[in-house]
Amino acid sequence: MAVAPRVLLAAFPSARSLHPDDLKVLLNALEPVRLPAGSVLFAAGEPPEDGYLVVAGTVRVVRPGEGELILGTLGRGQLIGEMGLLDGAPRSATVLAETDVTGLRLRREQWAELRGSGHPAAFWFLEEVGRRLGERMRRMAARQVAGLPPDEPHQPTWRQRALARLPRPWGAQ
Amino acid sequence: MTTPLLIDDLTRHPDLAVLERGVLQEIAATAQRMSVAPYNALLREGEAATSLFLLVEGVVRAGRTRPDGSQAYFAEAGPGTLLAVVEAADGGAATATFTALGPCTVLAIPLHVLKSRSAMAFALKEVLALDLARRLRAANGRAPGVADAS
Repeated sequence: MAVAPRVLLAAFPSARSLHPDDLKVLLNALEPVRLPAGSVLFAAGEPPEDGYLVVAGTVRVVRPGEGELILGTLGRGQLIGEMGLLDGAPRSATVLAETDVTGLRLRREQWAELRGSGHPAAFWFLEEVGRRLGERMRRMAARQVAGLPPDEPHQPTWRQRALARLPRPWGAQ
Repeated sequence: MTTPLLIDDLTRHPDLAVLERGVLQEIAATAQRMSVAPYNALLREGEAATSLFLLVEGVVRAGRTRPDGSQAYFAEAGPGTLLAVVEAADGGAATATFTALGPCTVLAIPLHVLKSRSAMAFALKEVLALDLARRLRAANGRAPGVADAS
């Protein structure tokens, strides 16, 4: 089922810059997905099969291991798994839904198709990825230079640990 | 400067090295090889970047002003490193001052080429994203707190 333009545009307004025909191609490459609160989208170490555009809800990003480290939360208008889509490296973190989440999945094959044709939708996606990765680098550099300690790592609550163990209704097959 | 030499320079970066020859030739045609004298700055913190730089020879130090006005030096880069990647990717002002620690040679690739819808622009945007992803992955182990879920 094709994604309605308003779903994408409400969360990613920059996609308005695409010509309507190109926007249609982008929407056809995306697949709507729903993730109930508590589900795991993907786990650290898994191969990157896809990237996600979050259109509603929030996910928590966790680095597993002894005393799981919560890296942060991501929500509407943010990308998840985009680095793996580009470089093919395994997932660097585990992502689980804090709330019910609605997203748009871009599978690796769909990305390869857009990329291979140099489609304007692929330009848009690359520009979004570049801009967001740049923003992350700026935040990281600012913290580093200000001499601020990294965000206080906090131990997950029993509920967070339980959520991380729940089965995944969607994500890696 | 001959295009073959500039192409050799470009292939010092792993993500540029795998590009098709035709794309490398296009990039080389837009690039300018420049010498930078010791202790001169390629780009200063807060300035608008107009080029992406590939360090071909020498060492460049990246520094940034702390809130108290002192300088914090957070990285030294050697040949094959892209400089001003963040600025090229997000179009923002320079995050750092890049200073040559000795005689340096760089290739300057003008950022306006990224505005086209050419195969070269696409390839460069992808190289930028891959370079940033590599840096973030490397930094993730050292500086938790930036949500990164890739």
